[in-house]
Amino acid sequence: MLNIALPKGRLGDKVYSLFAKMGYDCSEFLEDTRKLVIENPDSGVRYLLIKPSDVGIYVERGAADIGVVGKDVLLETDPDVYELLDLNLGKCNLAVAARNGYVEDTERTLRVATKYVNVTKNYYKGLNREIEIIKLNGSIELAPILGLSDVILDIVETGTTLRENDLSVFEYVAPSSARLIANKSNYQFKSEEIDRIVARMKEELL
Amino acid sequence: MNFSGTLRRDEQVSLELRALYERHGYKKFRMGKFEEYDFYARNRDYLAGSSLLTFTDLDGKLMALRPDVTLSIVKRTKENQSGSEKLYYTENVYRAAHSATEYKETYQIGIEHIGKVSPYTSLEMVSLAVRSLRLIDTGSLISLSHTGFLSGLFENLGLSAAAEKAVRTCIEGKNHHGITAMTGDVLTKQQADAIFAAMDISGSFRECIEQAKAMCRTDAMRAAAEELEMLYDVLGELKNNIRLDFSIPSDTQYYNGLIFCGYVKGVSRAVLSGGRYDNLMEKMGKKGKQAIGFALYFDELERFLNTQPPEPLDACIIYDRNSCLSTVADTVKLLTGEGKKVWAAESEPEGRLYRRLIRIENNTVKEEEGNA
Repeated sequence: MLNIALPKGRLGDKVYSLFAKMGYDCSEFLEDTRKLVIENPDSGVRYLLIKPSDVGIYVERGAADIGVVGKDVLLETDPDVYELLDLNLGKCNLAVAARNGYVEDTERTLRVATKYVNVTKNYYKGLNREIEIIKLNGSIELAPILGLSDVILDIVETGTTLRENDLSVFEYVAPSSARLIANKSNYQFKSEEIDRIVARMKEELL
Repeated sequence: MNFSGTLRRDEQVSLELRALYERHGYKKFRMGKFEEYDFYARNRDYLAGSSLLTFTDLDGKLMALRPDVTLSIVKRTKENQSGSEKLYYTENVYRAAHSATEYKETYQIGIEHIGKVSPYTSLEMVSLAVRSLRLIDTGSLISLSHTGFLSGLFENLGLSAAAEKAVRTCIEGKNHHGITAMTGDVLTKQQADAIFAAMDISGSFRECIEQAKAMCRTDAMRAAAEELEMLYDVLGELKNNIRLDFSIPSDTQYYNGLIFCGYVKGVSRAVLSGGRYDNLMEKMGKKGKQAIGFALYFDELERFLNTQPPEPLDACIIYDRNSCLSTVADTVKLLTGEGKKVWAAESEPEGRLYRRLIRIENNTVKEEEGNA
């Protein structure tokens, strides 16, 4: 039995249909259930539905053999896992955004609102810029509007939310998309199974 | 005396490992729990960026709790001593936990061979690594690798230091798309193909070593492949637990030559790691000395080994104040004499299970059902 951690939500649904096409289907998945564990003994898979930011932890600690998670989360949590494949799904950018017409005052400490604390730290460390991090868990866009922060560092997909709030991208930090990851120890014991999935998935994504 | 009912499984394994190493002539080495901070600060490169747990000694010197055992062993090795030393240790080390918000105490057992490393020494090390893991689980695996293989490849590719570091990170993560993203910009198509070929070498030793031999571009790579194959060929029935995998992390500051990592099914991280570390010996001023060793990490193993709930007590003896002291003492003596585990007190043990309940009231002994 292979344990697969999927992020709850739209990306998870997309990834599930990919697995289903490859023959790892689970009819229960499409039903509107609140179950967090769904399995199909015939195809030998068990899907775990997990909050996206926790997928890395489940895989790193071996509760799931493989999982799908955004590169943004991998950059933030830096789990010790194999990153086997870029699924090119859920594409977006990690970017710094500010109010339209914002001009950076380099003499002051920059106040950055974000939920990506580690990404933010590393990015500005690379620029040698002194910053103050304001950790928020949602509606990050509000922070610069209210003057809580100078800029935000967040994921930008289409830019609609930014536009509607009179914000725009100030600079790009890193591109992100969904990645297939695997536990390093479990991979040693299930490498054939996992390699088969990777190969099939590559074909499916062509 | 048999301690099987007293020792936890991890303690038993720890003793079995010690017996295994003693049988092969390794001597137990015991060291202090802390050293001067300066010693670790100077050798920071080898501690993989781990933060040290420091405190001030009575005379104002800054001290640090030991984050690594090998460094301390290498430090006390005498440079001018000829011949070899075989040592093993069972020690706690103190490092920042992976989540990096607190320090963690980790129990480690390891062995080191210092002096002259012959092909037999390498064979003995790998055999002991396999047999150590077999004591824990017969289906465990050891992945072999050799730093010379990737070093040889990079020598041939001629990349900048920054590019080499980025490529090594991708190899350790089996990250093909990371290499693809660098192609055209940092890497040429041919360079990327060579890296892919090396990355894909992971799995059953026999197949993989053929792949490896086929892609050798330099003498260093050929020598690495030959050394691995020669070693594998004489491992006999231990071959079943061996894989080849060039993606295992190979810190070239520390290691040179054979390296290996061990995995136990059901434990999420590598539980054993080791290899040849002449580089470390030289950088620490022990010129001309060779060394090889490995360590087993018990942090996650401990949970893996102790899945059984604690055994219930055999009997719980509850006495009241009117009972004669000797009646209680005799009952306890009788049962413990039979090798039973007994609890005797005026009240029941909290949070523990017992098979029989013996009540001594007004000097009469009554027996009841236990709660187990």
